[in-house]
Amino acid sequence: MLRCRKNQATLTATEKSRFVAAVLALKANGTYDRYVDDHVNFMASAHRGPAFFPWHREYLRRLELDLQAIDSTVTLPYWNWTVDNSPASSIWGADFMGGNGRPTDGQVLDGPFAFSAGNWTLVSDGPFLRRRFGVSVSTLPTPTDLANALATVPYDVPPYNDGPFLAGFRNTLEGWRNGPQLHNRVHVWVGGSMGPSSSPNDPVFFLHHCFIDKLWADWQALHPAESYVPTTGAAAGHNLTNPMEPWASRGTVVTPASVLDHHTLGYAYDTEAVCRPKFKFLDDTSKFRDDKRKFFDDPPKFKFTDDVATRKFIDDPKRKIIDDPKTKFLDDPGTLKAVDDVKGAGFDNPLDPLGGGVRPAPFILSTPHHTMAWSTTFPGALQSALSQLEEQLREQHAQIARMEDAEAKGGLSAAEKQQLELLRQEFAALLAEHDALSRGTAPGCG
Amino acid sequence: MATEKGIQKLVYRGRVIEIGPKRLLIDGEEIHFEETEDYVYSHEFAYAHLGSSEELAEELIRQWGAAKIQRGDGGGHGGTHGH
Repeated sequence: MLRCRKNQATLTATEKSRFVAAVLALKANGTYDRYVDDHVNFMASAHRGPAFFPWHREYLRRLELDLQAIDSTVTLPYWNWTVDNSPASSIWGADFMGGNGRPTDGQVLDGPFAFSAGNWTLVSDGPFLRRRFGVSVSTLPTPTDLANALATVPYDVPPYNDGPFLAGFRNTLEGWRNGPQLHNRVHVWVGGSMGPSSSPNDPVFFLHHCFIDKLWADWQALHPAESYVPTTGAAAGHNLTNPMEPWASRGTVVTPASVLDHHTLGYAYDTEAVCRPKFKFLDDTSKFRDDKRKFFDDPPKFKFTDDVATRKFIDDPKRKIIDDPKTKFLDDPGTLKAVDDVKGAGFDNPLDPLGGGVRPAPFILSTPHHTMAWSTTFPGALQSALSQLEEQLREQHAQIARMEDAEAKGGLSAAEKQQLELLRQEFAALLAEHDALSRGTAPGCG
Repeated sequence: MATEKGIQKLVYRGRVIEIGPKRLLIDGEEIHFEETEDYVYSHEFAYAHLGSSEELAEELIRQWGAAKIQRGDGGGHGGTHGH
């Protein structure tokens, strides 16, 4: 199952707090600082060459797995700095990354990673987290900057380094081309602890690089004919099948080739179809089968509120499962539910069975025993009731067919199977009522 | 700007910068960098090319402000630049 990485701007308060808690736990057990050390000690493996994207992809993947070992619900969020591009953006809230550093020394004073909070002491370039928004460059990259980079092909060009005039997607997005741009520019804009090679000291590093990783995935999707280059000719560790450090020295062969497809690494991004919530009425032919993510997108109590558009419970716009746990026909044993619930005045008002105003009519005790009393006296009402019943029967029949099809393919959960059974019971009761009305008899009549 | 045995000395925002052939010190602490025909690069300011070691020094001083930064055991920096 693919885990979905989300835009940090869409995180719920709970998601933010869980992410922060997992990061703090990783810091407390010493793991986080090993990631900082690796970044410092393997700068050449990770930057200024073609392996910039694959190296950081693997680096982030490992950190994410370590976070998930602490809290399995956590995924790395990404920061789209072309949109959330000011010190007032929510990413810098005290409930998440904390804000800019103070003017004197850049020390971050709020949020969970402030030195004063007691849980974030920097081992190198420390002791406190520093930020200096806009000091060295005044602005973050723009959407146009990003679009131009994403349009750049090929992936990289000789001599595959950080030449200030070197074209290619990698060097453009990494930001050496006419730099500092894009990735580099973000580091420089945040400043402080994000400036030197120990930049992972600032947890925003991972949100930044998560977006960089996403951009690589986006570029791959935009340019499927373009492949990673080179196979040879770049520095060691940067060619397609070169093992990358530090993992090679630690016994694991990770090459750029092995991380080209992020889906094989177990994650996707929220802008991808696999992560997007489905529109039940537009995307899905099967009402109940498709929406494995229904409880992600919608609280379950709203399931049948969504169904209003399909007229499933035309006479019951309330949240059926929460508000009315019994089936329609069990709720109302003394009356013909489908007839009684038609909102037309004629059926709701036994004194005015045809509606349209005041009209003398015999008192009708609305029970199955007396169904024929009014259905004979008012034949138009009977035909209308039959038509409505038939429409409901058609809808339910189609629904049951879809669910049974899903059930045959093993696509129903236990709860959905119960719903199917309820539907079958309702359908049987509805059919019996239709039969009774059609024959001129009603359940319970002698 | 003071010049002594090929070392240029200047003061920027209260900090003393010493620039020599392939050498840069800020308040007596050495800053490692590499230099090509086109740019100067340092892990201390790892995401930009600078035009000269003097420009590198000034960027670092702007970033540090009044901070007294401890190196710790992180590799690649070398030494402390607490001030």
